[in-house]
Amino acid sequence: MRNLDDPEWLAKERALVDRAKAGSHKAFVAIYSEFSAALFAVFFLIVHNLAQANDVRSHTFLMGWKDLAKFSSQRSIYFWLRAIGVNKAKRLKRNDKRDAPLPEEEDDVDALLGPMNMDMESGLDLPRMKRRVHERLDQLGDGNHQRVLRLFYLEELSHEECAAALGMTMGAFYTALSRAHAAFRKLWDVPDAA
Amino acid sequence: MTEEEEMEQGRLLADLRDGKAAPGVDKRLAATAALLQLALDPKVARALESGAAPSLRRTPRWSRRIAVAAFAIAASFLVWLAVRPVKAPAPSPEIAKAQLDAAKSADPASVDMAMKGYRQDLVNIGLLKGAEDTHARADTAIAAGNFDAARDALSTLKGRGGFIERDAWFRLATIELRAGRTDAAIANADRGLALGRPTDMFTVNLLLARAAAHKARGELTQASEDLHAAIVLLDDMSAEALREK
Repeated sequence: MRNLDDPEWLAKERALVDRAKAGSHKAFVAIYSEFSAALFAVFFLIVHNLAQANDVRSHTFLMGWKDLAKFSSQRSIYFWLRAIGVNKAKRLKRNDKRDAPLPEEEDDVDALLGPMNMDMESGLDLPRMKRRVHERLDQLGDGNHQRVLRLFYLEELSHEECAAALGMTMGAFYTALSRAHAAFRKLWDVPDAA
Repeated sequence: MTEEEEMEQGRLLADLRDGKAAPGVDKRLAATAALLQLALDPKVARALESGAAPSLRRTPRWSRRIAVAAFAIAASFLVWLAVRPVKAPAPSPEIAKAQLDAAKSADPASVDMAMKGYRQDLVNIGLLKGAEDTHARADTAIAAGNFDAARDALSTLKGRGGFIERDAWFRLATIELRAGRTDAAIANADRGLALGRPTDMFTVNLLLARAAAHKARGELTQASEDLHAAIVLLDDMSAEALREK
């Protein structure tokens, strides 16, 4: 995603917002195209479910269009849309009876994301986030952790196929998956070198 | 954490990837799983690119032969489903609002956008079975300005009948409008309307698209006739919704 503090972009975005406020659907579609993917990613990080993340995105842009007249911030509209969607996503998460309620102190997306806080503040930079994930995976070394994570997320394999590919029982595979996540998280929480 | 607890966490994390609920999963590890899925999972990448939520179902390779046999049985059932007339669902308040806005401005672009989320709802309740990928492909092509690819994708829905086909003609009409080909837009809207004009949102959309094309050509009488017909239908649907409440 572009730099949201860039004055040139902000001026262009403000013109789009003004046109959308005046009723231009085209201008709002342009705003949608600009931020849709990044917002989808943010919502996915909260709800952990593709279909629900998509629902939240639809809700966000419909509410955004309906309440656009209320938007008056000097910052990018991305942050306003993100606030609408994050609230909706958190409500969805709390109302989901099948899921455990989020403890208040953990109900903070930025805290859950660790060192990506900076990116969440300046607008989610998806390419940078992906690069960082790959870097951290490489840092896991040639052991089982990296293999388990890459096999499980990159290949579209079932749990049983993953266990078979790794030559493990199902129980051993689940244990390895849990340990690989914990090892990755440990590396993820280490700030980037300046 | 004991090995049993680690195994249980692993099972929950594995379920999260497949879109299943995982009560009791460690929240930080769940966020980590989401990060990994965002960065690595090709399904998430496709969702980010297309703007549509893909199917979360993963077909294990060992069962593909069974799936082929099941598909053959299911296909005949789907053919029956496709030819059987299905009543179009009522529009959501967002669609109705977008349609009213479009009726005022004679610009159906916002309706197409509002329909995008609504089509997902139709997919979720099984009313757009078989057409979800087509719309996702069309959305991607339109976003890239590749109208030919969008036309090709939507053309596969010709012959499906019912509101699925009428919706496809509406989208084809809006594509032609965006491409500035108003004659083709009118022809597409006509073909959609020729399939029937029940009192539903798909008829309204087709009328709005045709009105916009007429307006762009300076044919204001025809445009106002179509807009009037669309507003009458919207009025009828509102009255129907109020009666139901």
